[in-house]
Amino acid sequence: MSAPSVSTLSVSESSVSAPAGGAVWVALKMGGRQFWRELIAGRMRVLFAAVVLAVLGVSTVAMIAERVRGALLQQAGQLLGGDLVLRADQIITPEMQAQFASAGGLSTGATNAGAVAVANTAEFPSTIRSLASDGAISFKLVEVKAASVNFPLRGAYILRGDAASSERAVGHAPGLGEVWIAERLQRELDLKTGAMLNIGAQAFKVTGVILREPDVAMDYSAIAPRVLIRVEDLAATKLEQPGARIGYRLIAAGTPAQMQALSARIKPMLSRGQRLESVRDARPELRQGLDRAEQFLGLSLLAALTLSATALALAAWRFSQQQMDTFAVLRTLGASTKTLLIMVLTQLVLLALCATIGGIVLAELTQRLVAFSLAASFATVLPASGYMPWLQGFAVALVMLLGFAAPLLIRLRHVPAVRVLSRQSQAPDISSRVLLVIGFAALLALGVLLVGDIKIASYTLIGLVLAMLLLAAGALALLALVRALRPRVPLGVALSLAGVLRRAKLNVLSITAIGLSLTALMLMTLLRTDLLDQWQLSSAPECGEVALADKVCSAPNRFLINVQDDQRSALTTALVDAQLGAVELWPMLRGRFTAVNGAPYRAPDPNDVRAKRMAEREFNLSVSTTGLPDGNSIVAGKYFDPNSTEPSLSVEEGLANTLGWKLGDVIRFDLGGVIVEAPITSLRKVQWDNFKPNFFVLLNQAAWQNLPASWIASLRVNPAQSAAFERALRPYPNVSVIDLDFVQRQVRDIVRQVSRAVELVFWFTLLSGLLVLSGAISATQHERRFDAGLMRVLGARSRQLLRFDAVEFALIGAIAGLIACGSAVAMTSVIAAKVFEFQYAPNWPLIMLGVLLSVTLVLAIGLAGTRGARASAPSLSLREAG
Amino acid sequence: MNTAPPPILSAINLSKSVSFAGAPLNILHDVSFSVAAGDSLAIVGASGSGKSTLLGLLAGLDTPSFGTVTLAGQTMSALTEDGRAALRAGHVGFVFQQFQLLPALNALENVMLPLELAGRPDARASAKAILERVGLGARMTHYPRQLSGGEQQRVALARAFVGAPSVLFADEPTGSLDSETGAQIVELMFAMNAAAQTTLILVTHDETLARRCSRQIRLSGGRLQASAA
Repeated sequence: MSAPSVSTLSVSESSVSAPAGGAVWVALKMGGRQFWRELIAGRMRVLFAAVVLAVLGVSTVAMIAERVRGALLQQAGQLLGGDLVLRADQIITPEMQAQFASAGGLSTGATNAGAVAVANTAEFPSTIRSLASDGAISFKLVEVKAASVNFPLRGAYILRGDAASSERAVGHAPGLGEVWIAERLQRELDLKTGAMLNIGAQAFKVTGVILREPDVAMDYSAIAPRVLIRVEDLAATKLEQPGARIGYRLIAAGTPAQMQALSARIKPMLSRGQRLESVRDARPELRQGLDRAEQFLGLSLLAALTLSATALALAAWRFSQQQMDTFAVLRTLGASTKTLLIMVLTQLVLLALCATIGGIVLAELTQRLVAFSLAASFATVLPASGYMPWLQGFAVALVMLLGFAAPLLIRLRHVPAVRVLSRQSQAPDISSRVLLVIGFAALLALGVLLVGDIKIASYTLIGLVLAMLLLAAGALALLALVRALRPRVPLGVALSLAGVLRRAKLNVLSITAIGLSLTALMLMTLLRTDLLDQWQLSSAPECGEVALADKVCSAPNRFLINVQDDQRSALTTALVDAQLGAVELWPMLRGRFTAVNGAPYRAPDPNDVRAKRMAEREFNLSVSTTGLPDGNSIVAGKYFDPNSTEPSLSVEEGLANTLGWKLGDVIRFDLGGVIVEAPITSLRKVQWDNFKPNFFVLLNQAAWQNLPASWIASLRVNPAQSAAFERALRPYPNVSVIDLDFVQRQVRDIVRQVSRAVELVFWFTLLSGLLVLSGAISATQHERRFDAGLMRVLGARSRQLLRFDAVEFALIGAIAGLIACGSAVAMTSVIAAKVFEFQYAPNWPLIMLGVLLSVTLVLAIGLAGTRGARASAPSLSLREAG
Repeated sequence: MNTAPPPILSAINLSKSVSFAGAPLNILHDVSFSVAAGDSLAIVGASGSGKSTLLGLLAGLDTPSFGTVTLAGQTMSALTEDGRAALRAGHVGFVFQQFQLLPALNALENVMLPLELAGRPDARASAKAILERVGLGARMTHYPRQLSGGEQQRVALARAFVGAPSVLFADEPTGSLDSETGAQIVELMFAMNAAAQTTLILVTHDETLARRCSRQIRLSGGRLQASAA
């Protein structure tokens, strides 16, 4: 091309100063253009992909977690007949009813998407009069439930079907003027379908036999058999009189968010005798399982966050290195620090916006697939996850970028202009301590925001920071070792080791990043394995499909209540004779506590409704006859000395905390007129989901003084033993049976579903971990390409280059894998003990496999990633990398 | 009475030392000279003689360890980093050996950059006009990687002159080009310089190129050896 003629050249003079507001606009415009161009040119692609991956990973896990959480609560709601229950011992005020009604509308039928469904019931004991098929008139104490037609809102009544031994599920209450009766009542009174029975002043026609009801009580005091009528028929019975012991309930069902909102609205309106319960409050046997599931999902989120943060930090580091030249040129051309800062921030915000859109769209698609595959196991439509994940996605992108990319990119505004002349001039390095603090703060903020559990977030993140420091120290130690070894090894090996030293800084970064990803993955693997084992252990009694093959089905599934003192030995003998195995019997006393340390009780927090309720209610107390019960552990003090003659009490830890009781406090109980006063000598932790009789307060023999008590027995009845069991019980009509099979099946289902969800989330996290690993390795590609080109020019053969790379990757994999597995074991022990509350026993073969897999993975991904660098022509490698 | 025009650039007792392996390493020693507006000066010397370091100090890209640089009446050392950037934006154009075009921007956008940074509303029109003038009217939307070395240096020249700078700093402008292309670029640069009456400070180790400037100074071991008109 020829030079243009000189005469045509002229340059205009003009002002060079930009107006102040204009300068900001110019910087914004330039930042935006730079963003699009870098994105299109591909230099920002890795960083963009890392943010998309962060949003995708975190949002998918968050969306799945939210959906699964909603589905689990719905499922668990079957044990309550709804999601939220207001219990009251007086008629519920019209204002309160209006609040519930405005949330959805009374008696609007079954739940549907969008609306909150509301039902109501009233329960009370009453004596019914019935006419048996042989004409005999009988009277019987029953527990009447009057329900609105749409009750239950979750779950169903299981009624006896038309054919023998068949059953049918019914999701509503009986018709007007009809009554459904418990199977036991039907058997005892010999009532046929179509028979009439009187409740108060009203006659009802028997139209159904209840085999199981959804909100089956596990309250040991509910001893009378159930009859169910419509709430509209209650007035006609004339039993709703002043002073009648009627328990009223308003039940609501909807999305978790709706229930939260309703709960928040109702709580301040609660008056004496009213309480609000969710499935967690009402079913302690489920609470632990649900809590653990949520904690594990939270942990998965933290792992996904850590992996994404690692990928993002690496990509941002690489991008900032690439951008130094650009910023140096801009600085040379007169860009101010402020202009450069605005350019960086514009790029970060645009990056967050675009990555959020990309990440959320992908996450939505992923979780639709996941929800579709999970829907079968939940046997229900998973509730929609709402708009929150979109906001969360943007928050994740922005906070991650601010925490992990911004510090690296913002320093670009200080790139010295002289870099255009000498590439040795770099932007000032940020102190790694500052980066660590900013990164930790960002992760903690996101952890708390997304997981909502500061305990699990802080344990995990502190563990990961310690692991990171260990990894960096390990990497430096490795470099020192390599440096010391190099002069002492043969030339071939020395050349392999030279690469490790040449990229010293990069290798420290790689080992830290790869190790951190491996730590997060190992932590998930170890906890998942042990957590699933734990759940399977505690759900083994059901001997369902999740039970481990070698676990024995021995946990009780029947409680016998109201066994009288003089029936104990005969009943035990009858049950043993019927080969029903071990029967455990516990004395049961009911009483109120009246004073603490001689003074009337005053709640530590006057607004603590739960404490007030606990203080007002009757307790089931028992007596320690054979030592510390199974599933109980002492957390403070010492358990009863069997030889002690001093009265003493052992109290459940949670109750003691709620009521403000401490070790040594002297508690006075009124047990039906008999006063028992004793000090608390131990606090117990109770495993509520072990399906054994569990008690808040235990007395020792000295405190009991053989006061009259009824007894509660627990035993296991297998399906084949049902007939023998019924025969053995026939002589004891006063004894009530609570069948736990239904509850156990519900718990087993929930465990199975949580296990599925946990598995799925785990594999998803593992996949994103692998992506991070390959990202970490590809971050060093640029330098490797140049090195490989240079070595080729100097005569190195492909096989030699392969050996150099293999040694380097094997060393990185080994050191990262060893430290990661060690850190993961330590973190699992702490998190298992402090958060999930189980004892972790390291599974060494699994851990060794983890180390081996780390080396193999890093080696395989590394060698595959650098294949191009080894294979391409040296001139190309040098030009591309130069 | 004839009075000499005031110098547009002057260096007084410039020294630069850096720390190397814990000990100070002197790159420039006590360099002083001045350049009148519209003049052209070649800084010559062997590799490692401190030419580029001197250029960096003169253009305010770097700060001296000792001494002062005055550009367009302003003392560089009295300015902040941003002040020096503003001074460059108003008075200085650059041409580098490695072109230093932004890879993400096309030819037109690269040339627009200095005008945009100065907030000039006519950035696009001016950039188009000057690209036409350097013979790249048909390649305005091409990215640096799509242009040859000579074309990239033309874009760099267009970028350097588009803001009508008082001083043009050129660091080995033909160092990355073959001799024929290099010669074309030199012709173009001197033509543009003459047309715009810009002061030219040229760093080169090429004696022939240096002789095209009205003055030459020679550096050796960081010291000023001689000055020739």
